[in-house]
Amino acid sequence: MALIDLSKREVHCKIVYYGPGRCGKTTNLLYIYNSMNSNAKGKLLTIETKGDRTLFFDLLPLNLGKINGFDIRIQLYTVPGQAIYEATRKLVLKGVDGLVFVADSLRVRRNKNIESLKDLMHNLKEYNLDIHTMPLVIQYNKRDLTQSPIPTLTVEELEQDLNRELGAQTYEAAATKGIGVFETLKDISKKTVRYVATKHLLNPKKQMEKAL
Amino acid sequence: MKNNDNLPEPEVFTSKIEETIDDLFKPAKQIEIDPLTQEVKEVATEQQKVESKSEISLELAIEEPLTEEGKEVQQEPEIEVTGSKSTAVNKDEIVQPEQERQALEADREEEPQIELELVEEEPAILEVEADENKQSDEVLLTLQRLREDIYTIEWEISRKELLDSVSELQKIIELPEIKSDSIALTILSLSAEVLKNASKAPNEMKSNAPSILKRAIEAVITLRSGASLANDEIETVKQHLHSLLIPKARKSPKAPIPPQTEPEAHQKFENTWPELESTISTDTSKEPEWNEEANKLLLSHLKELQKQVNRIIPLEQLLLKTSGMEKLYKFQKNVRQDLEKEIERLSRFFFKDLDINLPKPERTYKHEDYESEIASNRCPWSQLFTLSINGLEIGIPVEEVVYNAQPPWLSKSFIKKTNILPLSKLKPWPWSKLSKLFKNRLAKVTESELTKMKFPVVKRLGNTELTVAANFYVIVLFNGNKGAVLRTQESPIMINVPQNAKCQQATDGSFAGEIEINGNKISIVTAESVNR
Amino acid sequence: MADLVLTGPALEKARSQINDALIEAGVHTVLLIDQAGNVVASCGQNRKDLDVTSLAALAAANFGATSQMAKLIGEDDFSLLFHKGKRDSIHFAKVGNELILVTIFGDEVSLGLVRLRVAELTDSIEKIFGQGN
Repeated sequence: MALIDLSKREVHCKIVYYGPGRCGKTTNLLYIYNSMNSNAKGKLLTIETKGDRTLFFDLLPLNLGKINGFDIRIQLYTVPGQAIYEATRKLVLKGVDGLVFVADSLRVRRNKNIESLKDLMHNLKEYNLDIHTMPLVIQYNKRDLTQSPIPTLTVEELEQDLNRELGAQTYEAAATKGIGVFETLKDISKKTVRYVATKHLLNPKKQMEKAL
Repeated sequence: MKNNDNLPEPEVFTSKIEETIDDLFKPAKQIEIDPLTQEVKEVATEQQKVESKSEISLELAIEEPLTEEGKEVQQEPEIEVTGSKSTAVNKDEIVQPEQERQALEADREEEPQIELELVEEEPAILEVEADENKQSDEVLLTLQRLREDIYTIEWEISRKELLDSVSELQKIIELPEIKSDSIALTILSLSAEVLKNASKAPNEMKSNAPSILKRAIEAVITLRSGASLANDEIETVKQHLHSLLIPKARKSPKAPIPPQTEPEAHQKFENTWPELESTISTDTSKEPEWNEEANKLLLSHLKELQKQVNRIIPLEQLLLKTSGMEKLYKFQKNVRQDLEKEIERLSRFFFKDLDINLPKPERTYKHEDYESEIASNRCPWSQLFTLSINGLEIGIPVEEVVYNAQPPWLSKSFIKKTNILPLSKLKPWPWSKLSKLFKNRLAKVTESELTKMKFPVVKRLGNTELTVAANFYVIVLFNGNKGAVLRTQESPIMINVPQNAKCQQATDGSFAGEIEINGNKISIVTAESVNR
Repeated sequence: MADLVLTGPALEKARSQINDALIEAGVHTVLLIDQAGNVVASCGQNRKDLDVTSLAALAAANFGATSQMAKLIGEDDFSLLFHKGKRDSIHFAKVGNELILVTIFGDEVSLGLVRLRVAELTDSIEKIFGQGN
């Protein structure tokens, strides 16, 4: 749910990085945070856990500054990927405006990818959201492992499993090395802000009446 | 509306945003993240490394690793906020917090000043304190403060809070305005006692005490601010406050409670009043009026209980006499007996042999005798299928009839002759389902079970031979255990057995008994009796 | 979940009430946030050491988590939360269906006072946003 403060002229959007456990969601955010050297980023918030798995969420606020008098803020969230954290994932998804689905290229994670996508669609439904109409980008992460002896899925297989019906923009990535990370981020940010801004600035009076 | 002015064109707006995104969202340096440790390694120049180290954040308690000492001096409330040892965030280059905060929050600080000009109306504020200040009633102010203390105590009990509220209360009670207000004085005095006791032993404070105290203070505030309060509410508040004090009241020797001299009572009530057992002592420090109040309350409670018992008794008798109400009668009886036990227990413990004059019931019933009298006279059959069969008037309990119809054409001649009838013979067509044909005890039996069942055909009842002509009806009886088949010339008629019916049961012979309704005698046939 | 669109007068009214009811009583900071973790209004001390963005996100998540727990045990909701610290404490209260009022206060303000004031505030703020402009 975007927050549009017409008095303060601010637009807040929420982008959630979703995907099965250990697929690289937090790594995406870590990379963005640590490699971006600008005032555009806020503090990366990760909740202390024993180990390196996300327990609740990670948050990275980004600020585009003032554009046409409006302050555009984008908040990047990740969700915990393990199956047992379903309730938490649902919570973090609340108010989401744009999605990045991070898929794991490891062959052994094939089913987990598919389950996680189904889980996402299900959770969105509970908020009356439809993945087909929302800004969405799919990232095929860990592509660097195709060079290693570890069995990986081909892009075709990933497309077949995850993108056959959605037809979303996809990016191949290796988040630990930063490959594909910013491409994903830029695309989803643009899509999300476009979506939100168009919705609310197209016919503001009507929108405000409706909202109130 | 002013807010609608100067809204950008969406297309222009979004393309500008996209430009900014392209501009800002890019890496300033090369780094790598270790997939196992999540450690961030720079693939950067030496100079950049030096620069980054000097920019390490001085950000506060939130960012500090939470050591034991760190937790002690933490300025924030106890929330674990950030990535700490497990992520590399703290240790590496982090943007200047000051700059970042300004970037993110600068506008928020600026805006309020501008916005204030737009406000045209006075905000409507429900400010109790502002209102109160206008009033000259100091008492009300003090009561307000006391209320806040009680609200604090409700969530956070500490000796300090309790002692503070006790002294507040004592001050209020001394005020002439309160001394002259008997209701407020009573309530506040009782509250003071409760808080005094609680402050001596906070962990023994009853869990409902804070909410009772809250209610009490709200009541006094309502009264003092000139509003009216129902008498019921005042009485309830007083009673509740008393209930918080009652166990203490009974400790006094002035109460008519037998202390250690009645071991029986101790034994009996040990489980239910453990704290009393250990604390009954010759405590002479209590003032007399608490005991009187407590006793009065108790007595009225016991009388009330007895009144309810007396109201139950006639209903119970009515249920006893009404056939079909056996379950409800038992239920009602249990309710009455439980209440009587409670009355007995409480009156013996608190009042021993004193005659406390509990209200008597209108008629005294010897319940057990009455019960057996009723039972022996009561007819076990409330509804019967009656018919005439070979000159005999018979009745069959409705609940035993599982089938009552003309037999299927295909089996007619078989049923006429046979001594044993397999239930499968009652199928109208070979492909019909048996399970659809039966009711009562055979209604839920499976098809395969039913196919195996066969019952004897009754050829004789008492001294009467049963014969059957061309068109007959078949009635199948089943009591869960035994079954029987009757062939009759007429279809039976259902009747309700009236209460005044005379009833006799028999334990042998082919009849289960006989009833007489308005002079007509009906012999009762059951699956049990015909199989004897 | 509908997008939340705020207007100047409504926000100002809310801020003013918060200031009068809580800040004047000695409360450090009050945040009015939405359930997605965005700060709608912020009143009180402008503490440099307070990361308001993170606090709002966590507060919303915290509230959301306890709300889910409430549902699991058969409650409709927990509309209140309170965390006691050694020096500062935080009180959360739901405002309508969309907003959460977060109050940070120290020793000098009694919890009872905060509870009472917040109870009144949540009603009046709910009315402000319910009425629209």
